[in-house]
Amino acid sequence: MSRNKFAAEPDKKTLFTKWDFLPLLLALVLLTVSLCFTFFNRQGQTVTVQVDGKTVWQHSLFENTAYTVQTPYGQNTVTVKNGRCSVTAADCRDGLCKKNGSIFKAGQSIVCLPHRLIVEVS
Amino acid sequence: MQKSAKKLAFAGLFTAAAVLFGYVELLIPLDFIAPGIKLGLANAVALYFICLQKPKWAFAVNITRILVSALLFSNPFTLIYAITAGLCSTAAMALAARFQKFGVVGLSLFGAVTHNTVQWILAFFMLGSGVCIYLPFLLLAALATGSLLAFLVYGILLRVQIKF
Repeated sequence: MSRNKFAAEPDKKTLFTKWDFLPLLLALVLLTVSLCFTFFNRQGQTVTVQVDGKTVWQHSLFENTAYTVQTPYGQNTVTVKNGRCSVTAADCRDGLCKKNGSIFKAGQSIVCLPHRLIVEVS
Repeated sequence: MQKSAKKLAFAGLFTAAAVLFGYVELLIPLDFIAPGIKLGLANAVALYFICLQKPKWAFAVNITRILVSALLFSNPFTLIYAITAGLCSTAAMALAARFQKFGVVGLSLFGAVTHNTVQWILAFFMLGSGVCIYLPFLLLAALATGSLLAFLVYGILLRVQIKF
């Protein structure tokens, strides 16, 4: 059958050969590398400020800015700089939020209990 | 003359099948794993031709299929993702097939992994580093759907034999 150009040759085409471990391995290596990457470097994207559980301000971590939150209980200044954010000024009585330093990982947060304020990176 | 008409008819038939596969996979949402994950059924026809050592047919069917399904079901924005990833994965499969050592599973995995990685890279450049966390999920999905598709295409290879 010389005209039978497209006929499949099932005996020549195997489902699985030992070479198939190559792409499998490649994918697994990529998978491990990407897993390591996401677990060790979890740079956050946005900062969210909540007062009493309500979001009052949201901003990208990659645009430097400062924002003063006026809560019913007092005010806090949230500063975003070079992918990190921190509370730089607050008139609460303990100032713990200022001592917290700067955060940048997704899931990290700064809490100011007296002002019922949560700064969260996501 | 008659032969080319026959070829054209077969090409149309297989492209239609590919577009239909693409529609069927739209009906099976897998978005709960990561946004945009699909079964990859639409790639079955291309993989079929790759396995028959007909990379030109695979390219032709895949490009036409992507353009047609973009017109029918999606928008120009997703077309950029689809056509780039489609071309890259078909190229990867064609290159791997030239090596003549891989089985259907290997070829399919090459296609699936390339497709998902290329889409992820595109998304990385267009949407920013927020998509980073999706790569492991995309790769896992590629492994699963790629091997599933290989079994399907192997079944088709054994049963469907076109004669010219």
